[in-house]
Amino acid sequence: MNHSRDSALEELQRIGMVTDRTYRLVEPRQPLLLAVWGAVYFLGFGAFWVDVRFGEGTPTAGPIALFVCAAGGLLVTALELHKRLHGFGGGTMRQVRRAFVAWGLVVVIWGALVTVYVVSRPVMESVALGTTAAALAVLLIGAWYVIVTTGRGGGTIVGLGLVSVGAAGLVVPTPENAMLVVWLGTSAVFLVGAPCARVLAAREREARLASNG
Amino acid sequence: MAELEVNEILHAPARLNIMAALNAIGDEDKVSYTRLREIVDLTPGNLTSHLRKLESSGYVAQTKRFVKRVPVTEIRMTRKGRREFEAYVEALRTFVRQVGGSVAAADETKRSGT
Repeated sequence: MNHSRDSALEELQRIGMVTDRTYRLVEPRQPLLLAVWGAVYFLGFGAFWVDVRFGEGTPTAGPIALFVCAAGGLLVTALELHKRLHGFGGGTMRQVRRAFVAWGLVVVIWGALVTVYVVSRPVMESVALGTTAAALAVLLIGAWYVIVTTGRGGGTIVGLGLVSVGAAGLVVPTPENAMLVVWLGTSAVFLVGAPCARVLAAREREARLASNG
Repeated sequence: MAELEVNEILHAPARLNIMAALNAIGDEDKVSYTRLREIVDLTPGNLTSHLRKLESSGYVAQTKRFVKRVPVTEIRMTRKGRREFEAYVEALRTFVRQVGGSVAAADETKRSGT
């Protein structure tokens, strides 16, 4: 039995549609996650900056707001990953586990560097410490992003953006300005990254469908 | 005129759907039976019978394991399955290009009345 042109085209279209449906069901929605983390940093670092700018010397509400927002961001990320990847085993799940282990490592490295910073400067304002710790965290998260998204252009650009913002936050002289750079820079990287990721995903989808008739 | 023989294993729409879905998933990935059913939208009876056919042809492999004492069947595409599927898709594309070209040429001939 041989194919007719129509039956061959029909099979190609079926393959294209099933491939597209599979990607839509199993790929974590990158634009959503970037937007959520953009909101996390905008609100969390925003509260931190208000503390630094108008507070009485010791940040209080800022770190708490940041912690609450970050916990919310982590919850949304975990739910999205579970929704998309449940029932999967093998390579993808190993990658996700590695990414989480690397993230834990980033937290440990961050804690160690902040400790070294505190020990090396016995006389220091807590505002300066908070700002430095925030900038350092952004720099390390950026490096983590670059590593875990190797080979995926969009993610690497977000990572490099965060590294730049973190580095800038470390060199800007006053805590107030440094926190402003970290707050606006980090939020901008994620909030600009979200629509860009949406455009990239739409282009990839079009290319996928076009390649199968 | 170009010809392309039908691959009897992949020609069935349900089996083609299963293979396309497994091909879209990563090389080293396994997917549970229930998740695959959700992706390809088949009834349990249909999915089981088509998986059996694909497994007997060496296109997919099924393994069973227990997660918290609940049996879970995991399915993955074998290397042979991926190779055959990719070759089949490539053959379909080439065929459509060739036949598309010859149909267009025939139409052009008819129109010019030669």
